[in-house]
Amino acid sequence: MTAFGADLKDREVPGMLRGATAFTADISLPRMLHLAFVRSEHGHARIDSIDTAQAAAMPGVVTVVTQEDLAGALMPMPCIWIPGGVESHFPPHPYGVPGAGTVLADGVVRFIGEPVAAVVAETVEQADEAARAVVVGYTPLPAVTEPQAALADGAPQLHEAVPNNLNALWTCGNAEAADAAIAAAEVVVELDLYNQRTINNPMEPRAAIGDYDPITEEYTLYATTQSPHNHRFLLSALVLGIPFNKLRVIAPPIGGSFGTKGYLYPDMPLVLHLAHKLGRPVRWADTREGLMRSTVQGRDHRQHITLAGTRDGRITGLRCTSYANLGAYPSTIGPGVATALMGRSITGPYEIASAFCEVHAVFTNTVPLGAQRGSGRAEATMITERVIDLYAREIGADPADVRLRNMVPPDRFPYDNGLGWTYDSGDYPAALRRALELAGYHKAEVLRREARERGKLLGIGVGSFVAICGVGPSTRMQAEGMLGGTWESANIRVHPNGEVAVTIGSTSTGQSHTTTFAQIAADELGIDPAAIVVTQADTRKAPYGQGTYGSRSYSVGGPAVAIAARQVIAKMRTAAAHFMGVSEDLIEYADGTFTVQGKEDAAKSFQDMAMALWYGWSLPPGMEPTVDVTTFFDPPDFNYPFGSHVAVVEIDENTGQVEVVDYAAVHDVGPVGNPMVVTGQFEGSIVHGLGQALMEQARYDATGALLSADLTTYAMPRAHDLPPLELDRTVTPSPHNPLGVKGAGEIATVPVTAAVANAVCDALRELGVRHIDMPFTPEKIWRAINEAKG
Amino acid sequence: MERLEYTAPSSLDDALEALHANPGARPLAGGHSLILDLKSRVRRVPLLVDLGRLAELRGVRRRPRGELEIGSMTTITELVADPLVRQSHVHGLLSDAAATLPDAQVRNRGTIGGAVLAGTDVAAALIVLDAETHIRSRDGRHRRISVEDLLDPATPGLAPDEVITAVGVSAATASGAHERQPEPATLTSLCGVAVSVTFRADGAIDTCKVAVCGGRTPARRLPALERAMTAIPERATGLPLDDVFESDDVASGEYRAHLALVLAKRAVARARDRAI
Amino acid sequence: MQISLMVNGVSVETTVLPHVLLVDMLRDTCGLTGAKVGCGTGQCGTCVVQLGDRSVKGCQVLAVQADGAEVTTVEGVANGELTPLQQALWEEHGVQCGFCTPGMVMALTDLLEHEPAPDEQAIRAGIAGNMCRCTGYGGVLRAVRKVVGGKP
Repeated sequence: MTAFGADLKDREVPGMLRGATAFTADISLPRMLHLAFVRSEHGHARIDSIDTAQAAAMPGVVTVVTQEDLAGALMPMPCIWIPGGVESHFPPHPYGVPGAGTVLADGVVRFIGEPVAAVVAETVEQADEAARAVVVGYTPLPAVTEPQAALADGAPQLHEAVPNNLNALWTCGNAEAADAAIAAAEVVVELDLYNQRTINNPMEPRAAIGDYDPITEEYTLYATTQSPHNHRFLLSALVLGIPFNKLRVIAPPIGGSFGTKGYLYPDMPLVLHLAHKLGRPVRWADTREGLMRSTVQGRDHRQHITLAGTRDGRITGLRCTSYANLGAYPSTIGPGVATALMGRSITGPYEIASAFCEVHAVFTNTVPLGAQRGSGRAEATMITERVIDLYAREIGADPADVRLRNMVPPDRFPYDNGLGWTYDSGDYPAALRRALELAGYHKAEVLRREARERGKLLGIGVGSFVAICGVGPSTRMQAEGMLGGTWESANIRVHPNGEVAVTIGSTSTGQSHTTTFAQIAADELGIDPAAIVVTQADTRKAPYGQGTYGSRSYSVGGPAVAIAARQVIAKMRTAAAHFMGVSEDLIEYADGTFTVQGKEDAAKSFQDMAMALWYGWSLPPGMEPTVDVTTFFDPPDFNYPFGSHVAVVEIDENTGQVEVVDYAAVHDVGPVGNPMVVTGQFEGSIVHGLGQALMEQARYDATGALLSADLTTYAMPRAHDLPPLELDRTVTPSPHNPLGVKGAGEIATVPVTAAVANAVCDALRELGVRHIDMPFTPEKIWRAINEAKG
Repeated sequence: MERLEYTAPSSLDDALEALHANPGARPLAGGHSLILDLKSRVRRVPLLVDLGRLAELRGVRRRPRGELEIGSMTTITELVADPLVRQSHVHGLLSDAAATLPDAQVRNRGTIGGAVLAGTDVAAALIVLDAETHIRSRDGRHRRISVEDLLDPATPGLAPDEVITAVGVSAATASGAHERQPEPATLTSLCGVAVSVTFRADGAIDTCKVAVCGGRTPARRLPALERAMTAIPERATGLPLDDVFESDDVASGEYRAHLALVLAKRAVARARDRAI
Repeated sequence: MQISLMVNGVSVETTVLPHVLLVDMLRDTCGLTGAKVGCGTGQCGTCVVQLGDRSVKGCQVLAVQADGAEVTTVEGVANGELTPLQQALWEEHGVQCGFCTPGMVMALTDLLEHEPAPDEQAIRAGIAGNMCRCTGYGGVLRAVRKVVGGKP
C-alpha cells in the first residue's frame, strides 16, 4: 500500500472551489441576532462614562452591554501559558490560574481596539450603526508602546499589580558560562536587532456564533477556533462557569489561522452568554479593521546578542537579551510563546558550549501578542543567523563554512542544546550543503559581477534552523508552565462492510487533515483511502484533542491514528486466527488480507473481519464485538524539523528596491505523508516569511494608535512577489513517534527573514553597510546606501 | 456605509439636472475612490448620480483631425483594448499607465474620467499627451480644459454640477512611456513619471514633456525635470526637486523626488526604444 | 429600490437600499456565500464576482449598480462539474484553507476568458488583486500554467 507518501488531492477542495464550503461567517441560524463591538479609540485611557441610551433606542437594537452587565455572569479570561519557573505579576483568575483580561474593558482601556461595549441587533448594519452611537467618555492616559520604554522609571503603568509593566523576567541556560566564554573569546561580535511586530492576517477574519437551547440548557459555539476541545474546557469551566456537558464547540472550516485562532477572545463567551440571555442565536463576524486591532499580533522582540568565537570559526558562547512586547494583556498562551519558544531556540542547529538567554516580557499599550507562523523560533533564528554572518565576516570566513563547522554533527543525537531542547535526529550539514548546491552558492562571485554589469547589487544569504515542533509531552509542557495536556487522539471505527470512520481530536485550519490523516490510516489498515472518512472539529463528535498549533497535528495526532489502526489490525488478527483455527503468530497481514503461513488457501480479508466482528458470532473468548478503537498519543519528547534556506537578492542601487531573484530551501520533516500538501505548506510559509522581511510591519504611534490599521496600510505579499523557489527535502525520521514524522506546517517560515536579511546585508556589504532591520523597504535601503556612501 | 439616495439617469441631461438640483450630490463612475470614502465615512453624499447607464459617455471615437475622443465612462480595460487606441501612438504610454492600476478588477470598473480626477498615473500620462477634458453642465453649457489645468490646485477644478464627458487626445506623434515605483499595500504608485518625447533625426531629444504623480498632490508637469531630460538625461543629477513632493506615511518627499529623476531617465530610455 | 438582475442564470427581483454593496446582497439576499468580505477596502479580492462579462470587486460596487445586469458568482461558474481551471486548482493544490478561492477562481476565469494564453507575468498580474495567505501562490500559478500550457 502506498497511500502514505502519495500526492492525494485534498478532499475538501471541490467544495471550496464551488463556494459551497460554509465558513463560520457564512452560517445563518434561524432568528439569529448580530453583535457589534464598541472598541477603544485610545491606546490608554480611563473610561469615565458609557452612555448606551441612544444606541439602545435605535431601530432593531435588542441590547447593549458593558462590563458592568457582565460582572457576576462572566469570569475574566484565563492565561494558560505563563512560562515555567517565573512569577507572573498579572492578577490571577478567580480560580487561581494565571489571569488575562476581563471580557469587556473594566474601567480602563489599554489598547486601541479593546472592546468596551457590545451591541446586539436584528441585523449587522443595525448593530454597527448602534455601536457608533454608544458614547464613551474617556480621560486619555499617557501611553507606552515600546517594551524598554515601558520598563523605564516614570513610564505609564498599565496594571496596578504589575510594577514597571514587567510581567516576567524569564531566563534559560548558564549565564556565568556564557559570560566566561565571552570574556575569554578571541572574537566577540554584538548585534542589536528589532524583529518587528507583524499581523498574521489569515484571509478569514475571526467569527463566532452562540446558540442556546432552553429545553436542554445546552450551549453551542460555532467559532473560528483551532482548539475547539480546549476552548470548550476553558470557556465552560473558567469563563462561563457552566457544566462541561452543556457546551458544544464546533469549528466550521477555518480560513487560515497561522497561530491566531488558538486563543480565547471576548467574543466567544459573549455570544454564548447573550444567546442564553436573549433566547436567540447571536452572531459576531469581524472585519479586517477589527482583526487588525484585536486579533493577537506576532513577533515584536528587541534583541541584543553577543557571540563569542575563535579566530578559526568555532562559536564558543552566545548570550541574548530580548525585550518582548506582550501587548496590553497576557493572551491565552502568548507569554509562553514570547519567552520559551524564543529563548530556548537561540543556539539553532549549532553546537555551542555556553549559551544564555533572558527575555523581559513587558506590557505595553498595544494589541496583545500571540503566535505567528514559526513564532519564537523565527525570532531566535533571525538574530542568531544574523550574528553568525557578522562573525564570519569579522574573521574573514565564508558564512556557510562557519555554519557547517559549528552544526551539531549527525552522530551526536539526541543532542541537548543546553537551553532546554533535546534535538532528536538529523543531518544538519547535509541539508545546508544541498541548499547551497541548489542556489549555486559557489557561483556567488560570478553572479555578483554579472549583476553589477546590469547595475544591480547582488547578495546571497543563508538561514539555517532547527525548530521545535510537535508540542509536546504533557509533563514537559507542565514544566514549561502550560496548563493543560498536550497529547492528541484518534478514534477508528470499522463499519460492517470494512469502510472506516476516523475521527481526530485536532482541527484543520487549511492543512488538508481529512485527506492526510486518511492516508495514514489507509496504509496502516491496508485499505484504500477512499474507503476512509475523516471527521474533526466538533466536540460532540470527535475525541478530545488539544488543538492545531506548533505544527503538532500531524506529528502528534498523526501517530495517534497510526497507533489506533495498529490496534484495529491486532484485534482483527486475533479474531482471524480464531476463525481460521491457527495460532495467532502464524497470521500475516498484508494488502488488506490475513493469511496463514504455509496455508495458501486460508485467507480472510479486512472486510471479512469487519463483518465478522460486526455480527459478533463465535468470537474468541472474551473478545468484544465490533472494532472501535480510541487512542491518545502523548509523545516522549518534541520533534525537531530542520533545514537551510539560501536567498539570492538583487538590489536596485538607484531605487533601493530589493528583489528576491532565487530562493533555495531544503527541509527535513521526516517521512512525508502527502508531498503535495507539504510543499504547499513550505511555499506558503516561505512567502509569509518574505512578507515580514520585505514589507510587513504593524506600526503604532506614541499614543498607541495603530497606523497600519487595514490592508491599505499593511502590505502583504501578492502573486508577483513569489520568487523562483527551489525546494528539496532530506529525510531523517524522528524517534519520538511511530511514524517518524516531524512538524511541517510553519517551519519553512522560520529561517526566511534570516536568509533574506543576510542576503540584503551581503549585497550592501561592499558599501560598508553592517546591518539593517526589517522590513527591507526600498526607501530604507536607499537611505542606507546613501549613508554608507556618505 | 451611511444610507443615501441613488439615481441612474438614462440621459446626460437628466444626470446634469440631478446634480444641479441636489446640493452635495456626486456623480458615480467606477466608484473605487468614492465608494471607499463612503464606506469609511470620510465623505457624506446624500445622492449618488450613477453615470453608468449613459451609453453616450462610453467608447472611443476618432475626430476629423485625428484627435481621439475617449468617452469619460470608458473603462481602462476597454480603453487599452480599443482598436483606435491600439493603432495610435498613444497606446504604449496609455498601456503603461493603465497597467499601474492595482488590478484587473479596478481596470474593469475604473473609468478614464475617474482616472483623470484621481490625478495619478493615468492622469500623468494624459498630461504629457496634452489631453483635454470635455466638460458639460446643465442647459447645454460646456467647456474644455486640459487635464493639466484641471488638476492644477490653483484652478477651480470641476464644479459639483459638472461632468467630464470625454477626454480628447491630439494626433501628435511623440513617443511616450511611463515608469513608476509601486507601494506594496495598495499597489498604487509611490512615484510615477510619464514622458512624451520627440527626437531629432540624429537621435537627440528635441522636446520632452514630463509629468509626475505620487503622494496627495495630483499629477503635474515638472519643468525642471523636463529641462534636465531635454539636455542629457543620463547626466542629470541632484535636481532641485526637494520641495516638489510631500512626505507621508508611505514615503518621504526626498525619496519621491529622487525616484522622479531615476524613473524619468528610464521612461525616456523606453520612449526612445519605442520611437525606433 | 426595486432591482432585477440575473444571478448565475436565475432571475432575481428584489428590493435593496442604495447603500447596500453587491457582495452583501449576494450573500444576504441571494444566500450565495461563496464571495467573502475579506478586507472591505479593495485589497484582498475575496469578494470578486463577474458583473456582465468582467470581474469586479463585489465590495466596491453597489447592488443597485447591478440592476439589469448579469452577475456570476463562484457558485455559477460551472454547472455541477468543475471547470478545467477549478480542476487544475484541485490537482495542483492551489487551495488550502479555501477562503480566497472563490475570488481567485472568479479573477482567473475572467483572465482566461479574455486572454486564453497569458504568459507568466500576465497570470500573476491577473491575480494581483487576490491575496492568499496559505499557498504563497505556488499551487495557484501551477494550476493556471497547466490550464494554459498543459504543464504546471
